[in-house]
Amino acid sequence: MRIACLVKPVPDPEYYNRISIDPVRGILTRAGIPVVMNPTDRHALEEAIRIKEKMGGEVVIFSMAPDDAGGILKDGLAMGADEAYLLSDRAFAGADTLATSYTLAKAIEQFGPFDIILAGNESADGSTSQVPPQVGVWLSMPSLAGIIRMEYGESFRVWCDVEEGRVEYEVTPPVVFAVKRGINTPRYIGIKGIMAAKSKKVSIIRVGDISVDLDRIGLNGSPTRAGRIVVPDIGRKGETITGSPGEIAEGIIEGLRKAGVIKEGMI
Amino acid sequence: MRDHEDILVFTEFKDGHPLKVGLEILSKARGLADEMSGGLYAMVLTDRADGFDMLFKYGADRVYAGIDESFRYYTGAYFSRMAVSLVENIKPYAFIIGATAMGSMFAPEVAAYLKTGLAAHVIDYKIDHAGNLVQVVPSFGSRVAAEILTPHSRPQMSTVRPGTFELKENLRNGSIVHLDTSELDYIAPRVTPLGFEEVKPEGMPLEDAEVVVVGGGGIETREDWENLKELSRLLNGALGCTRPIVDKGWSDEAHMVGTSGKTIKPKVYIGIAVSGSSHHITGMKDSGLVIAINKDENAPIFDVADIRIVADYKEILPALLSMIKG
Ligand SMILES: Cc1cc2nc3c(=O)[nH]c(=O)nc-3n(C[C@H](O)[C@H](O)[C@H](O)COP(=O)(O)OP(=O)(O)OC[C@H]3O[C@@H](n4cnc5c(N)ncnc54)[C@H](O)[C@@H]3O)c2cc1C
Ligand SMILES: Cc1cc2nc3c(=O)[nH]c(=O)nc-3n(C[C@H](O)[C@H](O)[C@H](O)COP(=O)(O)OP(=O)(O)OC[C@H]3O[C@@H](n4cnc5c(N)ncnc54)[C@H](O)[C@@H]3O)c2cc1C
Repeated sequence: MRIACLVKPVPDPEYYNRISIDPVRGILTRAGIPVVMNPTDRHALEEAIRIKEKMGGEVVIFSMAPDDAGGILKDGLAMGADEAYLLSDRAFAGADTLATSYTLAKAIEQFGPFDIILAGNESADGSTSQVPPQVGVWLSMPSLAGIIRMEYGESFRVWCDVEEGRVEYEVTPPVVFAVKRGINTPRYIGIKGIMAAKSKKVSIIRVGDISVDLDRIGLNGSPTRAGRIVVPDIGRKGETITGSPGEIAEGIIEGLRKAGVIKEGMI
Repeated sequence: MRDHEDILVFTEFKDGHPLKVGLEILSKARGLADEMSGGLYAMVLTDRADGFDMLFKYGADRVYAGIDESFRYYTGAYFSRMAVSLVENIKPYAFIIGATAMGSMFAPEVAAYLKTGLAAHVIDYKIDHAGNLVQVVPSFGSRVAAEILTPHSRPQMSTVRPGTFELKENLRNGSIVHLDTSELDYIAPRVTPLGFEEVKPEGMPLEDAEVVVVGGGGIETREDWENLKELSRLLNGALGCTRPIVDKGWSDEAHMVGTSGKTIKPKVYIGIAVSGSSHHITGMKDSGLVIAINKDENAPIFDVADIRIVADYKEILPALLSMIKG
């Protein structure tokens, strides 16, 4: 099995309350927010490595991000992936999900073929969940998302979380799978993995290294355009209630009463 | 711009009934269609010829229905083929799909086949001077809202999460057009649905409750969690959670509020030991009264709270429970 795993570097989701808009330039400022591997992608990578361990083969990471994301891909290699491609070029910038998925698909095609493409179900920043199914379309592969459980052998059995239950599917590769975080617990990166990663390669891919239609990449290849971006003011002018636990409890009940959710006789 | 612009909404069906999110989108899109002097059309792929009345009740002028055994569960190859054919045939101005589990696979696939733009999880629509649909989407949790336009390709596609728009009746005397499913015979999908395993969420659904108590990562013991359950029961409400509680196994995603969970607008939200990360706030910020209990006065949840209580929940909860029980 050759497995491609899509990994996106993102600003650490625990710091999003600090994101603001630069009032002069009107762009997002994320100063001081560390970049991490998209949390769900760690689960995708874990699943990829498990498939390799059971069925043999190799795991290759693909990521479209600026050059400085190399360190995050090194983490992926230390987890157990064999190789990584970082697609980094100014020409790729400004991509929406259609252009992102096209670029990733073209690189996967170039360095393929692959039997399985594994991805996270959603990124922490954009969270559109659109990239994996669109990669599937560009590669003429079927895709499934919301995967919470997988069994592998001759064919694959996967369980997708849906409203009020799970749908089970049987799948014949090649296929794209987007997994949810509940599917597994990613392994810790140990010293052995870090040592092993030293001899593994992160190859940086520029636009000239893959055969792409220039009208399909970056801002040019993006049918969507971002207009105004705002940090909405959702703040409320609240009141703080203090006092003994009993007084606070009374304050809460007072609030519930005013909101009309406590009916006569309930308390 | 053409003299009239039609809007197509994919309304997902299960067991012969439309999911609520489809009706919510119709309710909202009715106004947009009127503004464009166009029609509002619903697309349905179902295994039963039932339940279409509801679509007319919420504003659809016409229903395009594909009825076939193979539409019982989602198969990408079948669903996208049907959608691409219909879109190419009726050329709508916009195509809107509910961001359910199924819609989240279907919408991006269709958009990629049509090579058009797809705005994710729209919270508001407007029509601008150039006649483009302005689609407001959240990102970084709900920290940022961005206007997404698809100026040069049609249809302008978007998804909407359940619970985003209000239901509004607008009865139409509509017609049903049956879609030809014969071309599906030529498709051999490599993905085969085998069956459905129901997982019934415990307790009252969050989205139906007037009061939602949410327990967060600061809840220390299982016993405390049971006390929260009791509190929600006494208030005739539902108990929701944040992600750390799902990770502990005390609740599940059907009860989680936020980006990967539910969007709720109860009359009262009570957040207990919830920090207020942007991925949680996105699912609760439109609640009526917001009450927050957190021992850290700088917790971001306080920024969106009407009643702030800086305290240890372990002291407040027993007092509150005994007062309600009387
Ligand atoms: C404020 C804002 C709003 C936006 N709204 C939209 C919108 O409505 N529609 C739209 O088309 N675009 C939108 N975009 C652009 C979109 O976020 C980017 O195209 C982004 O690169 C990919 O989308 P995502 O982060 O949502 O990925 P998702 O589809 O949520 O990611 C799912 C998985 O795909 C893989 N993946 C995604 N991106 C990469 C990557 N660069 N490299 C490797 N693997 C990857 C990962 O495995 C990831 O877990 C928006 C961007 C911003 C800043
Ligand atoms: C793509 C993505 C999607 C996500 N989707 C969701 C989602 O849908 N829903 C969701 O909830 N999260 C989601 N998250 C996770 C989110 O980013 C946060 O990690 C999560 O919301 C944190 O939950 P919390 O505030 O309850 O827990 P914590 O961050 O652990 O905060 C606990 C709080 O409890 C307080 N506390 C502790 N002890 C006490 C006490 N004794 N008395 C009073 N207060 C106390 C602390 O001061 C703290 O503020 C998502 C993340 C990503 C990346």
